[in-house]
Amino acid sequence: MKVSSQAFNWFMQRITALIIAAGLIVHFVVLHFLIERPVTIHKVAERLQSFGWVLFDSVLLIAVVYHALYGCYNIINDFKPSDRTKGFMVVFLWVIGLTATIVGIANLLPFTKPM
Amino acid sequence: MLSKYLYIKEISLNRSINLFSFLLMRLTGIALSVFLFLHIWTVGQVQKGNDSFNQAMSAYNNLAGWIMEYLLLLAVLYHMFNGLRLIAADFYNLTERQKGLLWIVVVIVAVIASASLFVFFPILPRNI
Repeated sequence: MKVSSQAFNWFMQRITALIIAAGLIVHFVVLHFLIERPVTIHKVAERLQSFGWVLFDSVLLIAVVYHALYGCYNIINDFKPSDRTKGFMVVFLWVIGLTATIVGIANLLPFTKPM
Repeated sequence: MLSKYLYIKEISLNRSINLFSFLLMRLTGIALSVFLFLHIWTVGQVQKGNDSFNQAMSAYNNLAGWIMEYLLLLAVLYHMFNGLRLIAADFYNLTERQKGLLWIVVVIVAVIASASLFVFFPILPRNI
């Protein structure tokens, strides 16, 4: 059975939603309930010394970027754009998504150095 | 022209709670997507040094910042629980119960939003 890319993206939007729902609850609890304000580099770095937390934040970032940009693509499709506009949007959103993911993961790295 | 992008036709044809929830899902989705890039930029201040990061974080530690963070929480809560409602409807054949599920979402969001007021606004007394 051949799975169309539209069906795959529809399914992935649901899967990333579940990853984000679970991940965001942890993210909110850790950064808003367990850490006293204001958030400082030392408080974040303490957590990110563990590879598990770096992996957790990276997976959450990738899921959020995919979910957000595919959601934007769906909203654009509500207005029935031409095939040319759709093609342009796909390339544009891929560039934005890859850049955001690379920059986001690069932003995690300074926190992993011992303070 | 602009009315096409504001779902005016859909609103005039179908004024229901389901359409309202659909529009709110779109609106919170756009707001959260914009926030995602703001968040990556804010955390990226760490590349300029420890002080820049601490300064960027402190910038949100005031009443305006708390209000923004609380609005963010409201958007996240609605988008998340309404999204879970849609997934449940998709995978568990609950389409006919969508409306009832939407009211459950509203109650869950209201309860968590009320309880979180004391966390997001440190000026509020916590032991009422």
